[in-house]
Amino acid sequence: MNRQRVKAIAKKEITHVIRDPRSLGMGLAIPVLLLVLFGYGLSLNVDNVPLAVWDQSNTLTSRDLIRDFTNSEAFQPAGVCYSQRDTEDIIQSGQATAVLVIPPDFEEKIARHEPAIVQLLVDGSDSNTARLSIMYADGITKNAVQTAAMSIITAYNPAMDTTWSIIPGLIAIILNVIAAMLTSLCVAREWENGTMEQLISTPMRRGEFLIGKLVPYYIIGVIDLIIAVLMALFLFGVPLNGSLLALAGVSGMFIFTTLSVGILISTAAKSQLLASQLALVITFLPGFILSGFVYDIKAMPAVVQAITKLIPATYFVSLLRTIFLKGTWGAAPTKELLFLTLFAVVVLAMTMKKLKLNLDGR
Amino acid sequence: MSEKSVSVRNLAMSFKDVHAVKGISFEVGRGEVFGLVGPDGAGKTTTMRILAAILTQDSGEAHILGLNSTTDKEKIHDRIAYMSQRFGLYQDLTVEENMRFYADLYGVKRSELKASMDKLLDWSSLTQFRKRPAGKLSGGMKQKLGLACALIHTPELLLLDEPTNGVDPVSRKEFWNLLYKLVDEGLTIIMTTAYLDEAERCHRLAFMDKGKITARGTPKEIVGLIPGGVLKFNSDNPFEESSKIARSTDAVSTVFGSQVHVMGNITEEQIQKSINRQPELIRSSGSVEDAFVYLSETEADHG
Repeated sequence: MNRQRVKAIAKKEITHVIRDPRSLGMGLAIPVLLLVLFGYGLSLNVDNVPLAVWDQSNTLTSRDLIRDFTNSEAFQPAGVCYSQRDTEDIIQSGQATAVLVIPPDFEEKIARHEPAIVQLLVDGSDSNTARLSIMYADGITKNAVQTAAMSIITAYNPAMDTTWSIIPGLIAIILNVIAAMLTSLCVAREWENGTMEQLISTPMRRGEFLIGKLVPYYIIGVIDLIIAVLMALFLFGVPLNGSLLALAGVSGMFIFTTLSVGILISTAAKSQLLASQLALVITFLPGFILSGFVYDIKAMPAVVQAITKLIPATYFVSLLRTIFLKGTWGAAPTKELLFLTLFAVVVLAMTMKKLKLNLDGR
Repeated sequence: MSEKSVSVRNLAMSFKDVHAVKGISFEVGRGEVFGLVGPDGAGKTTTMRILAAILTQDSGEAHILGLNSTTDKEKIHDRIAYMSQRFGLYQDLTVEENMRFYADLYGVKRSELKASMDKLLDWSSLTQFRKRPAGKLSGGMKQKLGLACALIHTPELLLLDEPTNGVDPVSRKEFWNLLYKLVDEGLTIIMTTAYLDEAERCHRLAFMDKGKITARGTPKEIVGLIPGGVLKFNSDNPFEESSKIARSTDAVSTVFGSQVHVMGNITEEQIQKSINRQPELIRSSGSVEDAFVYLSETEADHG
């Protein structure tokens, strides 16, 4: 491994990115754009969610609780129910998004300082609104009566993830896409421009070529990560409950994983067009749809669930949510880190095998 | 150490069902300018790629600077320079950056880089363009930059694949002057070309056609392969008259501008008879170009 050569290739690659407004834009502007679009698109404030009430208790205490709900900015009264059937109909018709059900023994239990349980039925078809309604409702109930607990029933989307977790997930998706998209072009471009034939006639070795190609995009990935985390913390106010070190370590590993996928694609595809399309299909779509970022994995059919386990983004989305929101390492983070590492090693080994510094078989 | 810079024996290479190179042999001495000449698809580029050790032949042997082209690829890469048809210049890098990049790939020492870069820039008259992106250079300047990049590590053998393809005549002449300077310094050059005026500038030539070498020798020897020389005459309908001759005799006839060149065993009377007039015939020994037309038409094998 000759450091002069690795440095030369890395330097040349950085120069390409800096001088090409398109890749520079893709590398730095698109992550910001995506974060802003998705971050604000999935707004955190819900106003005037139509709330129906089935007050089986019909006491002073229950009416106090209902007043707390309707006085809040989050909810507005949308009708009264008298039966289980009513609650279902009112959500089905769309007249109410949530129904607050107060049991008959509510007041008695409060008086005896026993846990009182109220029920919230939520229309889960708009999972974001539903999720936020639950958060608000939970807060209001706890404020009103210390001993009350809320039991939540979500209609239509029962497995809905109740942690607010769009932003950490989004960071994962952005890193996934940017890194793979950028690197997917970098080897294919050399073949397409005819510069590869020249490169392979020099004493350059495969490892030097690969590392020289990876380093610049790794730097871009880290810059993107820093931008995204700063935006998450300061623009969107996502709490970082876990350690920054864990965040850096896990993300650093993930960037490496997704870069290796990009470079494998670039090595296998001999045109830039094919490479970028492959990168889109292989990284973006699964990352977006199957990683648990948008759709809950638990709600997927078993076969699809098995597929999600083969996608690095799945592990990264879950690790990031754990680090940001739970603040712990979660149940078995080592397993997930191990998967990411193994994935990168296997993919890079495949790249080394696929990357031929000669024209044989072309 | 042998005096041969390159020695090729029974080299053969095919791609799927196309036999690109069908068992060729040749040797190139140190300090020689050797030209591989022939039409497109003759197998010239394939041969050059094998010599550059970036393509592995099916059979036969090639020794480059005494090194085996299949087992010593990396050592060969250290010591030669190969300039592909589309030289790998990075259009967005400047003249200097391109040179520096190749210098680093070849491990040119930092302490030596500045001097050799200045020398090459001066030599190729690119000094005033050193900060210009390669993409903004003219075709001729790109070619010179490619050559400068190839020479940055002072190779012992220079392989040029159609170096002057698409370059204007003035730049081509300039390019050749640069090559002669290199030869004076002792560099061995193997080049391919489809320009036959360029072929005449080589010390020795090999004419390749359909994967075989059909003639070889100095330009003078190649011209000598036309039996009886060339009979030329001016014509108002050169193509019509040329094909009339070709049809009615065994001779090879070709058109250069408004001139018809007739080669082979043919008498003046036969020409007059086949075109039904008595043109003013000039007899000459011919050029390399005439020789190659003759050789490819007759498919004679003097290789």
